[in-house]
Amino acid sequence: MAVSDATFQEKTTWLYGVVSVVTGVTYFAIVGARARGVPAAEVEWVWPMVWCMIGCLVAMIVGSLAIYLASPRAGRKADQRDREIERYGNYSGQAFGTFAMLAALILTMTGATHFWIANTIFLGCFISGFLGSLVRIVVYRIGFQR
Amino acid sequence: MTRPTRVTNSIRALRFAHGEMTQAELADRVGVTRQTIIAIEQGKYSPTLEMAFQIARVFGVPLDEVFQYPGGADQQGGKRW
Repeated sequence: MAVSDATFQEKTTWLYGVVSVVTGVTYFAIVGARARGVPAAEVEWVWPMVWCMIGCLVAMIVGSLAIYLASPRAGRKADQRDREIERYGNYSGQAFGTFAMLAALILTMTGATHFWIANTIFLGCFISGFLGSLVRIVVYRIGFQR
Repeated sequence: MTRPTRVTNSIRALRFAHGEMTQAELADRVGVTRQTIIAIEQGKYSPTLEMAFQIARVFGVPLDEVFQYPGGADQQGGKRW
């Protein structure tokens, strides 16, 4: 089945996967370039992170709306299969979010700078979101058995 | 996740036997998307028991005329450990 023939839920999963990769890669490319040869505490990371988060959110909302309007009415509503796949994707991705929180906690305990703590959390959220989308896409494409 | 199911189904044959019912019509009557019916027909998704009964009800046949679980008598009743 071609992606163009997919349900609204599957198309938005593709959208979220692509947007999360673009957001994560863009942010780490910007901050990585700024961090070259500069102490971590002096790297300007707050506004790139804020703008990337806003951009990600706007892209997801606008993209979802566009997909919704372009989708046939019958394929817009999530059914049992969509809900199960979404749950499975969330379950698969959430482990990285937990690891990131744990790592951030350890960094805080050891007195690391805000730069490392914030970026660890951001990286965890980015991997968690991307992995969750990836798992959902794979399951949509090759099948889902309970 | 992607372990192939041993459950087979006769949905495609039943659709054709019922006035060449389309996947979209069946999906509409069961209350799912057409893509879910496609996934079930292709064995890529095992429906819930409730959805399986709903599909059987649309065709007016018992559940085991829609879904089959092949295997010998020694394999009946669940996994062998």
